[in-house]
Amino acid sequence: MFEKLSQNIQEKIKLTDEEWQLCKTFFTPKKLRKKQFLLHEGDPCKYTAFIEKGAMRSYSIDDKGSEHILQFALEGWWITDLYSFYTGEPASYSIDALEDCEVLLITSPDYENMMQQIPAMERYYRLLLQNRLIAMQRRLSGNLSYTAEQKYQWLTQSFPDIFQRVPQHMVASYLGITKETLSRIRTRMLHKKN
Amino acid sequence: MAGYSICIIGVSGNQGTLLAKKLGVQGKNQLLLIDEQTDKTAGLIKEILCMNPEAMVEQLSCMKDASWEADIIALDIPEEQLHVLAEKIREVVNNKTIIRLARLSIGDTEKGEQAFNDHETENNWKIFFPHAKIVKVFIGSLATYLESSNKDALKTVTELLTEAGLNPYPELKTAETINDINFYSKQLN
Repeated sequence: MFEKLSQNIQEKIKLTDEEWQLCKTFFTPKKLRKKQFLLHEGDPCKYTAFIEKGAMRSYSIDDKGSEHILQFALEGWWITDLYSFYTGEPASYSIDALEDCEVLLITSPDYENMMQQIPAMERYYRLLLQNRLIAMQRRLSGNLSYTAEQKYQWLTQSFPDIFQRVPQHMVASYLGITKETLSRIRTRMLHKKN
Repeated sequence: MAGYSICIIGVSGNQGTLLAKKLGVQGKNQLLLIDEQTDKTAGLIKEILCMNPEAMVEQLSCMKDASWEADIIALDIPEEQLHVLAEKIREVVNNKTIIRLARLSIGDTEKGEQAFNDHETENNWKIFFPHAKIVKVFIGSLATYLESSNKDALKTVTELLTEAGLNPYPELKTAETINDINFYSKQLN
């Protein structure tokens, strides 16, 4: 139940057994079924979720009803609406499960308590936020300057098994292109390979 | 705001049945029902769906999986089964709200309020579920009585029961409360 989180933390910092046992008490284990929501756009985001098993996405829906996917998150990843989580303001994104999921949830007050009681976790979260910032910066600059083909290549390098786990129209939404364009790029790349 | 996923373990008990029916009819929350008496549970689900065809209610068999999936777990079980149940679900109820449905048995008939305010039993629950937020609930004939040391959990359950039309009443020490609990427990006899 806590295997991936333990691994994720140990890759970045060292906790004593006692600290790890205490750390686990701040999290709420939760199973989500495929398509079940963790967060609805407009509700305050109460949790940050760590994914032990499954895949999730965060997205918004525009006035025309089109989905815009901000993030995919697989095992070992964190997902939340950061702004809403820290401010208590209504969320700008919805978060739902793309597969049956097992997640570990933590609330904002518990997160603060954990930092106070286990100071080593401050470093863990600093590294986490640092990595997240880098990923967002890359995604932003990719969106501004990459061609559709470059975006596709970047995605397949970052998430090698994404097409096995996520429907094609969602991948297209994540890349900010139509599914027809995505399909053309995939065909072209396949021909290049052969 | 989206509804909760609520697991009720022990729906063949009168308190569990009543809670399942009220929440089912209200229809906002997903209900996961568990009881050893599977036929009785299936019957209860049929009854709920007759009253509200849109009710999100289903029967599960694994207590651990149901409690893992749930945001709130309601337990209507005999005290002597508590330790066995706790072993099965303890690790998946961390930080979750547990509704402890107070069971008043025939032996409690003269002093219903004493059974409700049994602090020894209450301590057992804290030992069995050290990181859960326990709210004790008794659905009486006039109102529903609640008690918890956790204010957030008490608020959550009060809102949930209000929406389900169970008339929650968090003040336990009034004469009306005690009379109602005693009245109810005498009816059991």
